Amino acid sequence: MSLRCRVTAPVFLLAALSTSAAHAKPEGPRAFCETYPETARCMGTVPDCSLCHTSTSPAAWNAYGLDVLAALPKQAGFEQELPAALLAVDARDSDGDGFSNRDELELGSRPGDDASRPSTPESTPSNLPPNPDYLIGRYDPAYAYRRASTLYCGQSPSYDELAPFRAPDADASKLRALIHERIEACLHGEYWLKEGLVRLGDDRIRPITNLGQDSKVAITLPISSLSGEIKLRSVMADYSYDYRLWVHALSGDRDARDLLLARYFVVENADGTTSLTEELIANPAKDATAGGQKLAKEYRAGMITSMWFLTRNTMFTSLPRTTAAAAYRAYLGMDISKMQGLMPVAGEPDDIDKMGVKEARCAVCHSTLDPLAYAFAPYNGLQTGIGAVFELVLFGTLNGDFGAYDEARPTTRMPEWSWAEQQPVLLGKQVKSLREWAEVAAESDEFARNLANVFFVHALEHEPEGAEVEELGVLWQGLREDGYSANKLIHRLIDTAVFGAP
Amino acid sequence: MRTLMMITALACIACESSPSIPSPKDQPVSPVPQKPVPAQPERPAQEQEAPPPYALSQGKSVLWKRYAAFERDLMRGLDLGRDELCRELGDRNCIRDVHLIALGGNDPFGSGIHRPPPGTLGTTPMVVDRVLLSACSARAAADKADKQGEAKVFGALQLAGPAPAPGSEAVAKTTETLFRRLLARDPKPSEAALIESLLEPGEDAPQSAEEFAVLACFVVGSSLEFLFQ
Repeated sequence: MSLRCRVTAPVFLLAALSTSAAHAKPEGPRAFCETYPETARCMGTVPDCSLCHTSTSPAAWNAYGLDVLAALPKQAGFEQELPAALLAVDARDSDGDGFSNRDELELGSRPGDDASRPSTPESTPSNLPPNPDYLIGRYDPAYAYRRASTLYCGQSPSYDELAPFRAPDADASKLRALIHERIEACLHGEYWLKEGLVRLGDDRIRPITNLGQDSKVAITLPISSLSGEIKLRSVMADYSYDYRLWVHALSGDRDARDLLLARYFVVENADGTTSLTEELIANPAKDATAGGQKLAKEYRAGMITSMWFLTRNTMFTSLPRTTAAAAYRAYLGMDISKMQGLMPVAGEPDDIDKMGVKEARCAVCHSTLDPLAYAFAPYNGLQTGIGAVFELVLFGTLNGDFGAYDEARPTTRMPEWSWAEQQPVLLGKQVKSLREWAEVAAESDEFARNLANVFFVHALEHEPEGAEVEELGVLWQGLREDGYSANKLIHRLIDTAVFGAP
Repeated sequence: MRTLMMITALACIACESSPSIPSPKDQPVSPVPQKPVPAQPERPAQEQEAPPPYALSQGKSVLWKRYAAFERDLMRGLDLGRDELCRELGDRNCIRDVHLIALGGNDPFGSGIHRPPPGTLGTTPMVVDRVLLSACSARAAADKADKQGEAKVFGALQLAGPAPAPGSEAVAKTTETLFRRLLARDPKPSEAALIESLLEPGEDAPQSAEEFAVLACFVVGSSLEFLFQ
């Protein structure tokens, strides 16, 4: 057994025994970022629990977490003591991978995981001649052009299109201009707008064909209306509105914050073009259980209040936790189910719907999640009013109020609900409504970082790590300067070394 | 309420599934096209593993050319329509309808798969082979049937005749055309020699010009350079 193991094992055992009733502290990520605001894990996000823990319930720690735990005096509160404990183990190499904890934190790797190390590409041996096909370690315009063309045009450049890049005396700045000219055209082209960008929305919209507008699943009810048999197609909502808003906000140099702020709907015209409307949209199909958009303008907040988003995520729940978590994950890039983005609110969770979430192992996440979800409580999921029931009985049609706003919904569904007690909180800020929730989100670093990360991961097929985190930081911080244009973000991305240097 | 219960039941029926996906792996860059397995004996392991005598990329710089670009590059390179590339049972589009996931796409509407696979799957190589052989064969057949002298890719070959002689102008021109159309560059001498080697006598050697055309097309199309960026 190595010296390291001999030291670590007793510490682990001691920690395990002395804290048998311990659990992970959701205040940890926030305190960490107050200590290291400039590190990669705190730029537009907060670290998840796995930075220190191997398990949160029962609590168990990795090597870094154990070192921090041992450095805690445990005399004052955890959140007060944590900064000093973190700094006390800065110089150590907890996981024994050859990098100090501080270096690992600054370079974006995990100080408690010896398999996670700062990416330090080996320098090319100087005795080797240059690669005949690529500019290794430098921005290679031809390589960047091929990659950008594949990603945003849907095909590689042709032999003729690459001709300027083969010229031995080609001017690098002119080649870059050529790349941007070609990609700008593609960002307005059919592939990107009808396929490439659309597919990027799939995991956020999460369509279900048999519950969408084109559903072919028919339900024949065992009761009849005054007009006869009741046979309806099972439509929960029309997610094509979500896809159209996704593409609209992320194309044409528009403000991507409209993903969360749009009060309009993007409708498809008969000729295939799109236009915007702020009017309510009636269910266009009498044989469908729902359709159109029913949310009044003042309550709208882009993608997170579409009929599809609300019905798909809220369904029949009283407190729409899934809906809030989906919004947090899709547009702020933090997945609470993976213990990301934990920013607990004092006194929470209140367990307003009696789901038992006050238990310590649940409260770790619900102290963040439940205050996020309060803002969604007045929005219907799969729920409809008495008017629709009459319509069903009289005419055999159902025009469900799915996704509509109902001020009384929280108190109807959760009798102990109080707007004074159930205070929505997002990113540590109290908000009065979902609309305000969306405004705080759209202005946050987390939104900008997530947006840049969406395009970064799409282009490079991995999460940024090491020095790439800094490049991501430049990208998302540039969004504000660029009016939150996704197209401009893509142009900036193409210019980065991580994109263009093989 | 009954309606809502029905919808609930239907929602359960419509549950999504997610595929079992292997971990992504970086793919090595190779400027030299891969050989089709059936056509050539394996090179000695020592020769395959010898590092090139020049600098190599150290980063995660090689990306999979997924279904859309794979499809469009083949369509342009072989001058074929989308539905001419490959159809399963003569009916379903191989890339879009049948093998989308294996080629790096995702299918939210048909399969409830909302994310593309992070890396190539175990079935990806055979699907790529399937599509390439179909597309190359379709191009060769179309050019063979051409009576107007407007063959798109294999105009240098007498496709109804025997395999061309090694070192012939027809082989060189065909190699150049394939490289320009599929890889957007000219072949290097070593690469041209590799295509030539397909014609070396042996039981796997192509007997007809059409067979050679398909094989040469497959070699270039199955290169790492065509399949990855």
